[in-house]
Amino acid sequence: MAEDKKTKILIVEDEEVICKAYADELRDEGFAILIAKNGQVGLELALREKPDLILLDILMPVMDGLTMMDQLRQKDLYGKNVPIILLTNLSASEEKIMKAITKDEPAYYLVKSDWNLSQVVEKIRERLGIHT
Amino acid sequence: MAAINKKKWFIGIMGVAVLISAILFWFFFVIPNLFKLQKDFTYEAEVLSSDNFYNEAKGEFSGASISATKFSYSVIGEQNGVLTIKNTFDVHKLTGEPIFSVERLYGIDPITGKHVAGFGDKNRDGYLFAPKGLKKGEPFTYWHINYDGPAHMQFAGEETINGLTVYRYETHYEGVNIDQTKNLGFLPEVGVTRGINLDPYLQLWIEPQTGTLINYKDETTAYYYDLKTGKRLYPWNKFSNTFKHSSIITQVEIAKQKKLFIFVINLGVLIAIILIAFITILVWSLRHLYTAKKDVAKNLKKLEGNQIKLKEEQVKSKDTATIVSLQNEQLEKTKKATLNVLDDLKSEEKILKDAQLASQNILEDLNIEKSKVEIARAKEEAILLSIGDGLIATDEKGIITFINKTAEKLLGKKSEEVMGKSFFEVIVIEDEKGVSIPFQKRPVSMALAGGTTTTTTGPTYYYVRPDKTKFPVAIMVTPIILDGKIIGTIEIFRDITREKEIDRAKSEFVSLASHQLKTPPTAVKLLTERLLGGKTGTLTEKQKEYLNDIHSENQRSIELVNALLNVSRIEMGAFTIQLNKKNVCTVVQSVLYELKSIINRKQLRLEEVYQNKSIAIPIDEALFRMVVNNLVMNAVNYTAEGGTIHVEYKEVNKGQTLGGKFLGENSFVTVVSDTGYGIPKNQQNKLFTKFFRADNAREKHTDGTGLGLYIVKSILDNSGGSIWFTSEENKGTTFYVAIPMTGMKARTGKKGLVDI
Repeated sequence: MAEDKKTKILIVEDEEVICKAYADELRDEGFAILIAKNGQVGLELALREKPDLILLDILMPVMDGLTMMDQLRQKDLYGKNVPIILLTNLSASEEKIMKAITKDEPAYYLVKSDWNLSQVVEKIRERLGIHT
Repeated sequence: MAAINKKKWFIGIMGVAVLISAILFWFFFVIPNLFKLQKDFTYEAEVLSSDNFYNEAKGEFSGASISATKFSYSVIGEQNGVLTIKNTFDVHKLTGEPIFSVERLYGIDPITGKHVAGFGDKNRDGYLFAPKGLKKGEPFTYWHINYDGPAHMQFAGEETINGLTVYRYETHYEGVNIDQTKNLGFLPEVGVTRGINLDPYLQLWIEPQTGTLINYKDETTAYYYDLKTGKRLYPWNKFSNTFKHSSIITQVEIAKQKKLFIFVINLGVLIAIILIAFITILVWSLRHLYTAKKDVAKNLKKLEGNQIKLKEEQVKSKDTATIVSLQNEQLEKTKKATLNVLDDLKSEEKILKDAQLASQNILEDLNIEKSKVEIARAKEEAILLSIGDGLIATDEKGIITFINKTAEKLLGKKSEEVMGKSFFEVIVIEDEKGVSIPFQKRPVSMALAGGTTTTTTGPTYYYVRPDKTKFPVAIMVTPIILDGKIIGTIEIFRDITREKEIDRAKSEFVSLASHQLKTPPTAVKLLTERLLGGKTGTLTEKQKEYLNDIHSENQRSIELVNALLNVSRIEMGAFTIQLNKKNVCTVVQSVLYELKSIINRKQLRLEEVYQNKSIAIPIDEALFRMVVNNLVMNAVNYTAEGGTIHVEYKEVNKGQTLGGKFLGENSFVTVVSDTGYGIPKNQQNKLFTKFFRADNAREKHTDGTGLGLYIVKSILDNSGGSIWFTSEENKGTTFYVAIPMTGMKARTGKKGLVDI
C-alpha cells in the first residue's frame, strides 16, 4: 500500500551490481523501485507500470537503451512524457546519443563513473520536481 | 665705331654739298658765260627784198622789183658791260646801187641778249633775236630794224629746216603804229602833206635752244596817209624781205654748231662729274685699303707669333708622332693576332662540319632509340593501367585524358564513357550524408586552382557508382606543371571502405572497451559510496579509512580509462571540436567554482585576477573546461598545503611577450600559477609527452595518469591554441594557455573527448 504511494522509479540496467547499488540507495531514499535487465523488459515494464522516472542504461543486450527510449516515446502520452535519465559509461558526445537526447526529450544524460550516488539521487529529485 | 661712322657721315654730306654747288655753279655761272655775246659778235644775212610800188595814176601796183639787202649786226663798243651793237639794213639794187639803208644802235646785255634801256640810240625792250632755251609756245619781244617798234612775237608752229628744229613766230604788230614818214621823207609830199605808215606782217624762225635767228620774213603794205587827218589815202608800196636761202643755211649751220658745242660741254661736264665721283671713291677706298693694309700688317705680326707657337706644337706633335707610331706597331701586332684567330676560326669551322656529320649519325641513332622509348612507353602505360589504385589524368580544364583499369572498375565506368569529358560531370562525389560536394571543394578543382597537391583529410568523400552505390575514397590530386603553368592533374584514389571499417571498428572497440573497463570500477564506486554513506551500518575508523582508499584507487582507474579513451581518440584524429561563442571568463570562473572545495580541502589560497568580466570567443566549452580543469588540478596536486594558486585570465594583444613567448595574434590568455614543487629543468622538455610524470611529481602525487598534459596539449594543438610554461623546482610553476581571440578552430570528428 505504502509502495503504491511512493514515487516509482524504473531502473533498466544489465550490470547487476550497479543496478543493486542504485536500487538500494533509492529505496533508502524512499522510492519504489522497478528493475529491468534489458531494454525489451524495460519497455514492457514501463508501459505496464508507468513509473514516474526511468533510469536507463544504454549498452544492454536484446534491446539497448536508446532503442527502448525511442520506442517508448512513440507509444502513448505517458511514453512521450515520462522523464528519462540515461545512465551510461559511454561518452555523451556520441552522435547517436546526442540525437537521441535532443529527439527524445526529456532525457538527461549522466555518466555513471562520473557521478556518485547522492548526486544521482539529487538529479532524480530534480527531474521529478521534488525538492528536498 | 660711332666716331668712325660720324666721320663718314660728315665726309658724305660734304661731298654732296660740294657736288650740288658745283652743279649750280656750272649752270648759273659757267654756262651763261660760255654763251654770252662776245665782243667780236657778228651776224650777217643776205636778204631778198621785193618792192611793189603802187601807181597812183593807174591805181594799181606796178609789180615787184627785187633788191638785195644786207642785214647785219656787229658790236661796235662796250659800256658798263653793255655791248653797243649796230644793226644795219642795207638795200641795194641787184646791180649794186644802194637804194636805201637803215642803221640803228642797240644796247644789249651780252648774257641775256636783251635790249638794255639807257643804251643805244633809243630805249628798246625785247631781245636782240630771241631768248635761249626758248620754250615752245613762249612769246617774246623782238625789235625789228625796219619798223623800230616792239614786235610781240607769237608762236606759230614748229618746222624743220635742214634737220634743225626751228620755231616759227609771227606778228602783225597789233596795236603798234609803224610810221615811216621820217625814214621816207625823200618821197614826194611825204612829211608835207602826207605820211606813210605800214601794215607789217613779220615772221621769225628761231632755233629754240640757242635762240639763233634762222630766217625772217616780213611782208608789209605801206600806205600814204593824210598828215592832217591821219586817214589812209592809198598804198605806197608792198614790200617783203626774206632771207636768202644760203643765209638760212648758214644760220642753220651756225645754230647746229652752237648746239653741238653745248652738247659737248654738257657731256664733258657729265664725264667730269663721273670722273670726280669715281676718283673720290677710289681715293676713299685707297685710304680704306691703307688702313686695311695696316691691319694686315698687324695680323701678319700675329701670324708670326702663331707660327712660333706652331713650331712649338710641332715639336710636341713629333713626340705624339712617336707614340702614334708605337701604337701603330701595336695595331700591327693585333692585326697579326686577329689573323691568327681567323685561322683558328677556320679550323673550328672544319671541326663544326665534322660535328655536323657526327650529329647526323646521332640523329639516326636517336630515331632507333625513339622507337625503343615508344616500346618502353607502351609498357609503362600498361603498368599504369594496372596499378591497384584508381588513376585519372585531366588537362588544365578538367577534361579526362587518361583513366586506368582500377579507376574504371571502382567507378563502374568504361574508359570510352569518360575520356574527353569533364571530370566534374562524369565523376559523382558526395559526403557521408549524401550531399553533393560543391565544385570548389572537389579535390581536382582545388588542385587546378591552387596548383598544389590536394588530399582528402577532412570529412570522408564518397564516389557514387552509376548503380547509385557509393564507396568512401581517399583522394590525392597532383597538378601537372610545365614551365610554371598548370597543364593538368593526376588523381589517385583508393577505395577506403575497408579502412573506414577498420577505423570504425577501432573506435567502436575503444568506446566499447572503455565502457566495459569502466563497469567494474563503477560498481565498486557506487558500493563504496553506499558503505561510506553509512547506509549499511556504522563503520569503524579503519573500515572507513580502507573504504576511502578503495574509493580513491577505484577513481584512479576510472580516470585512467577515460584518459586512455581520450588519447586513443586524439591519436586516431577522431575527436570533434564544436564551437559556440561563450564568455570564457565565466567558463574559467565556473571551473574554479567546481574545484573550490578541493582547493580549500588542501588549504590552498586561490587568487583570481581578471580585468574584464566578459570576453566572448567561439570555443568548444567542454574542451576548454578540460584544459582549465586539468591545469588547476595539477596546481592543486603539486602544491604543498598552505601554498597559493594564482589564476589570471585576460585578453593580450599581439606583439606582446608573455612567459617568454611572443604572441603572434590577439589572444585570450589563461595563466595558472602555483607555489608548488616545480618541474626539474632536465625533465621540462618531456612534460607534454604521454605517460610522463616528473620524478618529484611521482613522489608527491602517486595517482596521476601522466596523460593529462598530453591531452591538454593535443586539444590546444588541434584547436589553434597554445600552451607553454615556466617552472623552477621548489618554487613553483606557471602555465599559460592562449586561445586566439578569433576563437578555436572547429574540427569534425566522430567523437568528443571524455572528461577527465
